[in-house]
Amino acid sequence: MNQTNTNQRKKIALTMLALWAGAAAPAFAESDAPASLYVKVEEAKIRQSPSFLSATVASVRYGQQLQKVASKDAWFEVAGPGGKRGFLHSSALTPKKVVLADSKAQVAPDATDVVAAGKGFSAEVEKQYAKTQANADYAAVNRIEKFEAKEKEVIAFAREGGLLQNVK
Amino acid sequence: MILSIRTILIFALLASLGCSGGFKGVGAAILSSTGYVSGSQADALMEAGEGIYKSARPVSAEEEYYIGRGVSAMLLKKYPPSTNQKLIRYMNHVGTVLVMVSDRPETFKGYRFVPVNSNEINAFAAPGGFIFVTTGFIRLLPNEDALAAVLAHEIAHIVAADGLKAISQAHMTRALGALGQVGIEQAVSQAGSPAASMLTSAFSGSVTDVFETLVTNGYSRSQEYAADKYAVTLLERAGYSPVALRTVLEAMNKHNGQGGMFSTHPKATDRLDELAPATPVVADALYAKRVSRFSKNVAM
Repeated sequence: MNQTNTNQRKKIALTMLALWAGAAAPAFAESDAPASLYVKVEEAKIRQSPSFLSATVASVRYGQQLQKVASKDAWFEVAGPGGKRGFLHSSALTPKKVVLADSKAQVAPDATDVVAAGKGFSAEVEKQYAKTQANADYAAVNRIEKFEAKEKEVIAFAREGGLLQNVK
Repeated sequence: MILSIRTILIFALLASLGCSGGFKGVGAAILSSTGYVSGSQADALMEAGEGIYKSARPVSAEEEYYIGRGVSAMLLKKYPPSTNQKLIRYMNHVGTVLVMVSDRPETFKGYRFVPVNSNEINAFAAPGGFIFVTTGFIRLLPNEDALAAVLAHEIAHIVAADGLKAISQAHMTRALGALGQVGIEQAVSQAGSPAASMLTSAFSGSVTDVFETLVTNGYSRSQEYAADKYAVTLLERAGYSPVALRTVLEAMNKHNGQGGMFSTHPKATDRLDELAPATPVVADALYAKRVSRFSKNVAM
């Protein structure tokens, strides 16, 4: 009876492991991580230290290739343009090569190892879509996008309210 | 042998928590800290971020942004944006503080926090980082920490990419088909071609899927509970009172409204039951400052 239970448990465990391996296969080990990282957001700031409270060293743009130097918590230390070193949060980066919109390179539509900038659901598709939409107010979206919280103001606001005290 | 099976089970459980709870980034961080895997948190977070939304085709941060703009355009037609500059600035300050401590501080064009004019009690997060709270809901909130709790819950939906998960695979498959027909580099430049129309229709379907989920159908209960849990984590990390979400849910329960969030979310009492028991929190030194600036900025 015990043997049967153990076998069943083994079976369940192996099934779960197989499911897990399929769902979360990306390697977490540092040695497997690529040396090149690409900026996947429109614009990001390379910081002096791994914190949003720290000074900006340089700005990088969508698709820019950076060299990974090291990592600390959720941040990568990178070498950017002109060899400038600093830190970027991992959510701004992808290990996938970003192929810019003006590139002549062919990208398969289901490619999982590259990002095709300006393709798929893009500004051009939005333009076509917006023409026929009576239920969409894109002018209002453009208006709300104009407001961007200023970094200095946010930091002062946090300090004034006793916030972000554990963030260096 | 038993031990190794148990190890595998724990491993699998942690991994599945990371997936089903929606916070694979957090799940990955837990995995790293268990000692079962080596490697940095940054690598784990980045890899997890790449894989958090699985569909018939990969969706880039840029595409997520355009879907988010489409959803926002529909939301703003129904809920016009407030023009109260003081309130807009204040909400963006509170929201940005929370974003800074989240596992996804960077989206394609950053986060926007938008008060919208409506008496309904409601809040939405559109893909890419567009967050909306009705003025009716803001009026129900007693203080800044409560507003932070509402924004933290919405940020949680962005971190978990819950909006994208509402898109039917049929629409993603249609987009894939459209892109495959003429090759990705030509698909959209030939406006009006059958492939371009197919892509536009897939986009329209995707935007509608997310909009309908936000406004009518709601996310699953497990997605909402996971967002509540993560919201409390964000409040703690930022230095807000972690009981603030409880305060919001109690206010919602007392209000006992109809429609809006009351029809798309689990009952406030169920959400309260799901939250970890409240530990009494001593108000920090600057709590009073936050209370006073809330009343100054939220006067409507």
